[in-house]
Amino acid sequence: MTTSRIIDRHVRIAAVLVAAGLFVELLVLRGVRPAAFLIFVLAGIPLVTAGVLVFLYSLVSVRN
Amino acid sequence: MITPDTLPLLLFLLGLGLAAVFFVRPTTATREGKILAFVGLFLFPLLCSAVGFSAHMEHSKTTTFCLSCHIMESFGKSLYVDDSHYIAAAHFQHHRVPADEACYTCHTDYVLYGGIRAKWRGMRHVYVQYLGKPPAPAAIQLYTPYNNRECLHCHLGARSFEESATHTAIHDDIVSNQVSCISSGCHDTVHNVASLANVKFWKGAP
Repeated sequence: MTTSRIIDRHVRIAAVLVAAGLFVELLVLRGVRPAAFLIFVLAGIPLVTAGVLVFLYSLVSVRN
Repeated sequence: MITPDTLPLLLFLLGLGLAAVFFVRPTTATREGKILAFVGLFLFPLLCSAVGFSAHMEHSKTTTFCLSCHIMESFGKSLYVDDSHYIAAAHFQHHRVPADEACYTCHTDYVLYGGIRAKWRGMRHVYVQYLGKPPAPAAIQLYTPYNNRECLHCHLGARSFEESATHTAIHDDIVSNQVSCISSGCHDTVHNVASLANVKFWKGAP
């Protein structure tokens, strides 16, 4: 697999994770219940963080 | 029209759109593509999460949020007792505290980082609610005795407080928290959820 294809794969995975995280966060954004806050913090934020980390990894893994 | 309420929503939709673009076409070969990827997969997600977190922090101050747990139902009911001796009810009904942030206004700490401490206590409530063994409403107690500082945040310097002969006589003891406002026999009827069956309610009760 070429370097650019590996990067594209990482970017795609990052996009999926970020989109999933943002979707979860969006679903509970208007929720005024503790459960909404918990879902935001325990599901939304970790998914977005994972996506961002995968994206950052795709940047530094170029030479490899 | 864009309002402060719809702005976070638009931000999230834009963030989702950008993420979708990189799922469909993950091209970062060009300079523009790299910049867009940085915006779409780094800046925007972080911005959206920060905005969402801030929104949830604001929601957590609302009376609706606090009373959304079943265990708090009787405390919410106590805000509608038709008796001015119930200080929580009197403050709520006469809007001495903002009605939509009634719980938070009295139960936060008016010190540096007091808001954070109050939120941390809230997390403890959430833990007990979902993973612990919640006590019966009548058995719920504060983690620490109520500090006069929270009352004095509004009342200190107010004419009604300063001109009261009782307050004047023990002013220093009140300010230094030596004499408690609510547990020294002066204003000791607060929520009293155990006795709600025998009280009259204000007509505005839900």
